[in-house]
Amino acid sequence: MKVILRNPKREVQVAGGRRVKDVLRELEIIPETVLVIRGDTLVTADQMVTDDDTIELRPVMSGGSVSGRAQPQPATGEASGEMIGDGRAQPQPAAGEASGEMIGDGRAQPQPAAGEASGEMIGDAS
Amino acid sequence: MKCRKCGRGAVIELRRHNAAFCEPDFVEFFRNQVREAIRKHRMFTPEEAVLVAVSGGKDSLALWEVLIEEGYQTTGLYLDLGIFDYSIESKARCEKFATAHGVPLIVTAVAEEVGAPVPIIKTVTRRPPCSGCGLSKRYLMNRVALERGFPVVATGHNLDDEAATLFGSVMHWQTDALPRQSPALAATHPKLVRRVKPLYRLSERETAAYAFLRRIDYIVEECPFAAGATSIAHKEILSRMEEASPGAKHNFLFGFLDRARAAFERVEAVALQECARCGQVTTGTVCAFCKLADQVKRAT
Repeated sequence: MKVILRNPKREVQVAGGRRVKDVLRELEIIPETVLVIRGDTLVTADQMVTDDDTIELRPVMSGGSVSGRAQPQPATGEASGEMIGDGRAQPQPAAGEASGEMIGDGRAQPQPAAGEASGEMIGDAS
Repeated sequence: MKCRKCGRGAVIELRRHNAAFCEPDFVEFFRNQVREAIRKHRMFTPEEAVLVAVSGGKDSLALWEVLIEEGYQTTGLYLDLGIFDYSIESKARCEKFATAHGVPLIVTAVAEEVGAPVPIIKTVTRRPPCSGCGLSKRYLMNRVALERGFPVVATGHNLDDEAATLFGSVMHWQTDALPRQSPALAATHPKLVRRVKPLYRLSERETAAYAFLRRIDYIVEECPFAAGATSIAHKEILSRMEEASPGAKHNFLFGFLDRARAAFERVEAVALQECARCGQVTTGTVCAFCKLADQVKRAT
């Protein structure tokens, strides 16, 4: 079967006739880090794929890096506190350097509506 | 695997919720999480105009789509970073989305505001590209919102983004950064608009699945400068923890928000003043954005 990988886009051939999770395991890809796309829909890890199938493993992480041997190593040397795009973390000034004052410094935090529990997950994740 | 709500075939499994959903029920689950985030943190009301910061990626376009579907008054803001083909393609995605949904999009070029695009800023400052880029984005989001009369800016930060930021802050014990991490930052100065993150309850995989299932044409390729960023390494570490223990990221972030953050809040608020040059809010005399623009001007 054909597996399409991204960033950079490329294809690999693996044996079908097994579950998606077995394919991911062979490629050493953490299921949490990809969408598994077949045709115009998503498939769950327990579904069977055949030798005739084509699936795309689309990374979900901003930056597109998927852990596993099917991925090239990210370039090094540009390590930084802040990501481009949607993952705007706070920049970390280099040691000894004057920190850029940021918009938003020193803001007080609004409190959530009172009397509510939060962080509860749906379902029983026990 | 069956949908936990209707029993039909599932398209996605959410291990942290011990659940799986079919497409319609996943879409409903996703929107419920956004509704809950907006309600809980009183992010905005249907009467308010919301400026949605969009990058062309899965998170921000998924956010924009949900807010439109929920009937909010939205305008997109695309900040053109000038990062080669990546910026050209991501801008095209945002324009296509805005046209298809009949919603307005504001485009502001960093090069025009700072004096040079992000790749040149990187060279001039000799700092990681994300540094000048993030500074410019935060500044411009606030300024554009103020100039155009938006009381609030919404960004597409998701649970993974927030957990990775928290992880980074804890790793370095940046106690000044910890209290600032919140799904909603209030407007604590007349020249600061509210900043909110309505996707903070949803994982990166969930936003990607939503964007895919809703046929949103987003840019899958990420910024060429993001490779090797520390935050990516943190996300990988957290993903391994999540794999071993579903719910780990959720518990890490929500435990902090619910039980730990208050302990880091400062007794004395930081004094905010207006930049002597541009009038935007800063803690110094001249803001970091103006200093960056000066640095770029001197070097180019």
